[in-house]
Amino acid sequence: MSIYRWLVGLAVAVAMSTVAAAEDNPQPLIAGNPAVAPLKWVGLLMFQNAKNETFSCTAQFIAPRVLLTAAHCVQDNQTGEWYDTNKMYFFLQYQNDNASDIYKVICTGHLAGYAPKIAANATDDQKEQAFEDAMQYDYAMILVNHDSITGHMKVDTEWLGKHPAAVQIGYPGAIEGGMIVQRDPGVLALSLSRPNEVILMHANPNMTQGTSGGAWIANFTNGEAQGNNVIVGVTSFGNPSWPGITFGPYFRQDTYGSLFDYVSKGCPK
Amino acid sequence: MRGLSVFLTVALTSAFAVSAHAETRSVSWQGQAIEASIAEPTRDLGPSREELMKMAHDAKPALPTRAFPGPSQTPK
Repeated sequence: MSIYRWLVGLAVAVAMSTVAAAEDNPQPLIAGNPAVAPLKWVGLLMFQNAKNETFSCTAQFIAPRVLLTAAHCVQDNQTGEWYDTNKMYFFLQYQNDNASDIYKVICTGHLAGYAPKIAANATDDQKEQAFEDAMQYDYAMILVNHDSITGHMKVDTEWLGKHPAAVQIGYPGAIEGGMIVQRDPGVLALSLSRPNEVILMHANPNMTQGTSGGAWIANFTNGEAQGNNVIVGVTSFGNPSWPGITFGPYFRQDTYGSLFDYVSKGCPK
Repeated sequence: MRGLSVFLTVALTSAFAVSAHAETRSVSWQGQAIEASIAEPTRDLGPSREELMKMAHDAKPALPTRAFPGPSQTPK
């Protein structure tokens, strides 16, 4: 058993100990209602790679013109390929081949930590470690061409000790063919392996492909009062050794705030 | 004449090839290293809504290229 696996196991144990303190009532995976908060701020992000293959992720508005998603939905950090922003579209309130509005992309950005600079003489182990560490920066922001017609969600940074639970959302291809946004409640914990990585323990192992970039929402409720529906993470990756556990980046105020400011201003030179 | 034709073909092809790619940037912003990709500001409306919905319907879930130690990673 690797030290990494041991540490994740310990993190899971810590998370389990906080189940009783979870804010959300335990619920099975359930189709969400994109007509009301918070899912009315969520949608499907579509993009193409250089081979003209089309992919989807989940994204959500965090400001009138700014989306939050996973960094691997805008760039392949192994090859360095940026997915073409001219062929990237956001479908707000996507459901069953329909959407309330479609947005084009002005620019997208992520922290440089997501795309590590690997030395030419690095060993395979060093490369592996660099790319594993990069996943703790797996979030990106996207400036779109016009304002959200439904509003946007709030984001909380450095929230440890404040939010014990969250609801993972997204369009998993394994459920309803990815046509309907799903929600899945879980318990939050800090990964002990990396300082900017958190985990969400939830119920459904099918909450996988297509949920990339989907928000982890604390205080999930249809009500829009202050303090409700706060984003505390986005879906990055998982592992079949721990089905029902999802990993995501932990937002630090300084880095998150700078990225938001930069993208909001149109990604200037 | 043939030389001019070849030159124009290469020049035009190169121009379209350049315009088809978004610009990328690496900057330091408020002390943070950030990388970005910028779309063309003058691009047209693109595909119709119906075409876009069809593309979204057929899209495959995105996968992180490397996410976890060992061969058993499950992309999200």
